[in-house]
Amino acid sequence: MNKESIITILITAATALALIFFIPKKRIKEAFLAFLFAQLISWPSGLLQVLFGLREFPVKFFPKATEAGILLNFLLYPALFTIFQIHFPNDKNTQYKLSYSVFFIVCMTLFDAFAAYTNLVVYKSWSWFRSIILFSISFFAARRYVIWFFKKLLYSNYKV
Amino acid sequence: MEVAILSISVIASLASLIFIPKNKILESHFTFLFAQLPTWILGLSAVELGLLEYPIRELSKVNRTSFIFEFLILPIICIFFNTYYPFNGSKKLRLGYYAIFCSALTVFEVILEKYTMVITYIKWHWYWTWISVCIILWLVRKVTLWFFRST
Repeated sequence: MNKESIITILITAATALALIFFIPKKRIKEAFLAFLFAQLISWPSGLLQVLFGLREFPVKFFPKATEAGILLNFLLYPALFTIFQIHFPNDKNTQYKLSYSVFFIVCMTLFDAFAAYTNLVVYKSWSWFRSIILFSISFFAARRYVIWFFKKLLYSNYKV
Repeated sequence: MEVAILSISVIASLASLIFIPKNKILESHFTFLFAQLPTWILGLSAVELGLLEYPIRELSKVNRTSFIFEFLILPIICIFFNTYYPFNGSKKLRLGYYAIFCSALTVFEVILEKYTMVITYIKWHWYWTWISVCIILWLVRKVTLWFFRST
């Protein structure tokens, strides 16, 4: 098995384990929605990144079907957002929330840079600064959506 | 012509969303979001295994499946399927409802396959479309029900 396959398997396993361990069962529906919406943003964003020559994803599950690897954009990053969303410190003050977000995004950017080092992603016309911006915008937008969705749910007839 | 077909399908599917009643908005959101998961995976797998291909498509350099179909059209069809599903109908009615949707989509796809270059069957048969659409509609419906069920 070459280095790439090992990394792919490790990341898939890590994603699955992270989701299992970090998502409490009673918040599974919120997590599910967060995951799905994060995919909605992340996947086309990945396709566009490849289209505009910004980033490339050499390691792929579906090498013939698409250039934008699903591993990062379809699995790992949505999973990380889900964990971000579920463990967001809603009860603490603004400074705490800001620190939490900054910490999470910085970690993700570091991981992204590490991924670039291991050839999971290739920065063509990209930099860690853009990663920070991208993650921040996506996280913010996705968070707004999940909050909106569940607030609306509360005021409707459904009980989730 | 293919470009016209693709553009019209996008506009038509987005426009058709007006027909969703307001009290089903959240369900529609969820259906749309969840539907992308199976359709996308199946779509990628089918192209990956060389079963079919989409010669004329959007985002052609980076993606060899039909982004519009997997990401937009099928999820929207799932929304309509769920919204107008005859909960209280007889078993025959519900099976008939499934059959109509699967058959309509299959017929539409076969016509596209024969007369345009939007999609090409390599090792694919129309009944696989029928079966996979059926499974996807069923799965999306079941998961949507689960999500909105009171616990």
